[in-house]
Amino acid sequence: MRTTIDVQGARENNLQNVSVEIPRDQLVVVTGVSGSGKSSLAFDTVYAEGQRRLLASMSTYAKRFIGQLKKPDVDFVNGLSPVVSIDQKTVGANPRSTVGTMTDISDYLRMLFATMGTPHCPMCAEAIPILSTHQMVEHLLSLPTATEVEVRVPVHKIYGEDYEYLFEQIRVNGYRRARIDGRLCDLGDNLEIDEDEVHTIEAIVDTFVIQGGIESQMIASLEHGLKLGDGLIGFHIVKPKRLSPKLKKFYNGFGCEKHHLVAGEMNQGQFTFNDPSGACPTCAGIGTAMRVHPKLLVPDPTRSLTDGAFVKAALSNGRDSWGGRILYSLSKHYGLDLDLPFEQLPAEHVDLLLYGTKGERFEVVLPPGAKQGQQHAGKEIKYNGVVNQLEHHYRWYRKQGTSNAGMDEYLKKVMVEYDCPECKGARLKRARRLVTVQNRNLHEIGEMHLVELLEYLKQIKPSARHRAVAKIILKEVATRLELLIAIGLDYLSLNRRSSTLSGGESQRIRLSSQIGSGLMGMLYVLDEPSIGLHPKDNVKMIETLKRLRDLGNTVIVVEHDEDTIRASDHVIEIGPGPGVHGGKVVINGTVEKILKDERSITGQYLSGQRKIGIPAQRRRENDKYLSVRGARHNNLKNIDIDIPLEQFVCVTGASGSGKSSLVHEVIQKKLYSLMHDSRVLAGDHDDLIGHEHLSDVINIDQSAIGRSSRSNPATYVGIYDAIRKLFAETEQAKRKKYTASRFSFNVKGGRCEECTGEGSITTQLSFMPDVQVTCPTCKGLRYNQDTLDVTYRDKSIADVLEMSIEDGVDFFKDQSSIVRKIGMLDELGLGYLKLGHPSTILSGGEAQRVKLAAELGKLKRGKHNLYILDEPTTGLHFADVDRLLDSLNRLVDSGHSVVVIEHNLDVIKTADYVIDLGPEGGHKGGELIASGTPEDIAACNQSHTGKFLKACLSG
Amino acid sequence: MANETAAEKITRFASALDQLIGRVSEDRYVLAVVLVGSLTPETIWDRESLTLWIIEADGVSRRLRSDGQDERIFRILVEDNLNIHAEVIPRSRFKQMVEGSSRTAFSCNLFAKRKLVYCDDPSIESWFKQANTLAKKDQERELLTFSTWTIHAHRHARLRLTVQGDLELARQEVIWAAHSVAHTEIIRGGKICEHGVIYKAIDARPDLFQVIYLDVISKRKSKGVLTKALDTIDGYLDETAEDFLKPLLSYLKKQNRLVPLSEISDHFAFSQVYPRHIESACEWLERKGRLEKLSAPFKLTKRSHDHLEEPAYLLPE
Repeated sequence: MRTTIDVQGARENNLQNVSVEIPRDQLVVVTGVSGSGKSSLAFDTVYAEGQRRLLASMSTYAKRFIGQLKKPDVDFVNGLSPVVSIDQKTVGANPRSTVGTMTDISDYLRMLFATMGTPHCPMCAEAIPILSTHQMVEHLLSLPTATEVEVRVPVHKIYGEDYEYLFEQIRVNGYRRARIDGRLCDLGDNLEIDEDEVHTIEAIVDTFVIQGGIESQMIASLEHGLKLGDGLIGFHIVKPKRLSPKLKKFYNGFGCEKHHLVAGEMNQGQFTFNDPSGACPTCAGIGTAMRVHPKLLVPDPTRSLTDGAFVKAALSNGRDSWGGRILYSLSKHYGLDLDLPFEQLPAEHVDLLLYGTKGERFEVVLPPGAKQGQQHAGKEIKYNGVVNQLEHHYRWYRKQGTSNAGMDEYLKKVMVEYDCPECKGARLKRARRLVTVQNRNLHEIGEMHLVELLEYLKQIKPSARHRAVAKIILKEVATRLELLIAIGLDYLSLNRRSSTLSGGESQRIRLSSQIGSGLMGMLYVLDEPSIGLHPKDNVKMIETLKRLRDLGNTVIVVEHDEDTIRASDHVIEIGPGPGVHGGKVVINGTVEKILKDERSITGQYLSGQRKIGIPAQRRRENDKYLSVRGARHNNLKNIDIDIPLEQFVCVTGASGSGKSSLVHEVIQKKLYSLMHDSRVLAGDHDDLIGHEHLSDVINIDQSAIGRSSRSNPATYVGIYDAIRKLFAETEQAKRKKYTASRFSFNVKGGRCEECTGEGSITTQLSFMPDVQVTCPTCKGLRYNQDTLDVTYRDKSIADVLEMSIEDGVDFFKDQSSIVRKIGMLDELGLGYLKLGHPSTILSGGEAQRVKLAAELGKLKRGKHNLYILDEPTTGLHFADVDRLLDSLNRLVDSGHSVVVIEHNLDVIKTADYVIDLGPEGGHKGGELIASGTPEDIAACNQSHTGKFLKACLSG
Repeated sequence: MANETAAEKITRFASALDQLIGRVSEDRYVLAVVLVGSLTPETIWDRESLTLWIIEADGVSRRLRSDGQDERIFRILVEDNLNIHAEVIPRSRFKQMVEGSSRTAFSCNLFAKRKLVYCDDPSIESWFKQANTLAKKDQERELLTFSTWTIHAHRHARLRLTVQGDLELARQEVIWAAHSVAHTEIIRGGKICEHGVIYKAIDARPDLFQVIYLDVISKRKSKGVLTKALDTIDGYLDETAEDFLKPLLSYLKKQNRLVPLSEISDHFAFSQVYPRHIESACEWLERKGRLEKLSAPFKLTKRSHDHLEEPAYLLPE
């Protein structure tokens, strides 16, 4: 039996015809400096070929429905198993995706509720029985012949709508009669109803006169009624009026005592907030509604109303616009000063603008110079205010039941989300919220932290009838929960939105799903699972990887983390350098072999021959601080934090302890709001003091620098324009009257028109993979021959794009502005990238460093920026971390401040100041555990970071 | 049969119906039979057939390929050489038709005056009886619909006549307006709009329809005749429209704010009151001083950043 995965002749990206044997059923780490080709081997070769072969094995018919993959550039790969990749991508922003839906636990819990949930009467909260329609019919037919039974279902108005709307809905569903507070009403008549009172409304679904042969119509009628009543239905004997003891017995045990309601059989779909039968009708299962936030309406309060203080989408101020007319009329009637900055308007005038005249009428006066609206002049009108108008518009839009991106975008500009006023964030219909298992409804258990949830599930005592089914469901849920807890996600709750999870959290959830599947013989390829993990959680992650291996799987991990490398069975180091200097297997063997091998840079760092040094002297705190007071966003526990400025500050803490909430949601957003756009709403806090010391806040994240293959490092750092100018100034170009735009592959003129400057042509072939071929006209050079004929120092514009950054530094050595910018890229270890390297294929770490280089390239004296970086060491080898630290220190030395969220102890130990949050994640976190120099943190016994740091500082 | 008297014809039809009922009463899956229209010479003369609704039990429909997707199935039966056009409707669907029909111009006449000629299900009898009563709100909706149609046609007729001097098209619009007036008169009288609405209306208001209908179609086309008809419709609207437009006025009163036309139209979206009819009605009310017309911002496309304006109306206190 084959015990290895045999890769022969891999040439993807920078791989140099690599041949390697990867042992199966082991935990294998692929490591190497950034850009050396680790991902090219693990993902672009092994994973891509495994996936391609799996898809290729499907029928031609099936292939029509799935995307096809291109064959990687490799001679052959033998010994592959079905392959699963678990990357760091965060889940999309779909508000319907939650931890529960991602892990499938929600599906099991829905099944649990549908199987053994107890419904309750919406009026008296008494537990009510569940019956099938056949059981209901059987019970009805037990009544004496000629008894008349009225079938009713409870209905409720949608939040924000009136009763008339509810009556219309009942009629649209095909019912004309209803009982309002017990009184029979014809919905075809005009009904006087007090909208402010709460009324009990029951739609009359049908009336049956008991006799033989009506079973089928009863069933059809009850099924329709159960739909309108959200699974609840009531039976009332209306004839004879006086009930004999026999008739009274009809109600015994059949529905709640007072309202005679019973529940129909429940199914899983009814507990899904993605299904209209389960979703809250007000928020359509999203759990949130929107309301206008006055701050968003006036982005710049220093502007006056005449200068357009309100966002145009909310209230325009043109003299011929409706808004302009209203503003001018209000100014005439109420003395509103249109030229005064909005922030200086008296409170009553702001109230007037936002919330209207409260029924008071005023005369329409046209603004001077108005060309339109003469017919309105002199009329008396009321004004509802910008806020009321927008909210009315929002409710109207929601009622349409459709959604469109344009309108959502418009509303998002001026509105903020808050819990749905009807379901309070539970996402489910009232009837579903009234179904409980062990006295908790589905939303309540979704709010529990996973540990708490596991405890709750263990306490469930199913009845004999449900025992068999409940046992299976509970076992499945418990297994998944245990796995999630085991990998350190105990602080999450099932209701947590996926979009709020970090990349690491998402990856670990997906990992737990794979382990939960219990498959063996699989090949898992993971990308840096240690990212975002505190060293204490990393131990759990390594255990999980081993567990995956022990199930009989091969686990290939692309990783730089020391602990993971040490825990692996086998290490493959790709290198020795990045880009063209890498792409070879430096060493392939056990950790012991690597430690002893002089060629391995990883081995040198692991053995301690090379290490990232601790600074001999840390920067001293000065009197400038950025101080956050009363931070309460997410799980932050009303904490006060002082961040020393002009220092290199690390924010640390366990995963989910509140680092991102503090740094991004509170500090960054507040600063951005103060400096750029007041419409950005910061997380909940009392105050931010000391922002006056800062000129700007700059977030350098790992998101892609461009979505188009036409974007590249040269365009991003801004040297491409200068390079094109150089070409345009050559004698040849001047003679041909070529301007700088001639040397752009994005515009007509200089580019190759066959491929429109792409360099390649993509042909779509139905059920076969898309074929990308080099453009036959320009041979991949992107430009037409006339343009390529123009050279600068014997290189054409295409040659320059193909040039590596390190070569570029030398080539443009007399062009100081270009060298300064690309020199930064080289210094940050990106010298191996080509100047024309498409940004779409840059890794997250590379993209972050390109951004950092762009920032370093435009440093100005006298400015004091705050740079925020979230785990900048992601994707960086020990050797690259050293370079990164140099760059960050250069920023600080130039008078800027750097705040870094980081778990990497090598970075933390070099910081000037550390802020440690914790002690744990989620509800157990959000407190300030310690702050000070790394030595101070190491001395703090309560700090988990301190414990690991102590070992690191002493080592 | 060529020389058959009206009375003989009715007897023949009634006998055929009885024969059919005799047959279906043997079928336990047939719950009720409804006679559509009445056995009077003016309702059966044109088709020489009976039209029925046959209500069947749920879940027993026999469907043919030619039936398409609708739950309601059309069958042509024959009794005594008389073709009977029957619509076979499952009970639950029929109930939906009876109870749920609202907001359409047909809701008044769909069930009223239909006759339950056979019933084996007492519950059908009870809701059918109720459906035959005109609900106040439904009646108001119908009056709103036809009065807005009247206003709309009248407005166009006046423009054709006074601005363009187009007698032909103005006459056509006046006739449409007269037909709408006929409908409002029938509904107002608590009657049902069936065949020959205009004739029933002429019988009910001979003076009115002499001017707005009979003179228009019988006399030579002239500005004088049409102007008189339009003036009379004007007078009719002055007298009645306030009452007929009550749902619209009540809605504006409830809103107690300036309401854009698009929102008003949306409120009446499921009825046959179209936006252009609403606009005509609102303009008429504005001319009569009952509404104030202003404007409100309006986004033409879902991605538009700039606003256009649309008419908006306010009901003064």
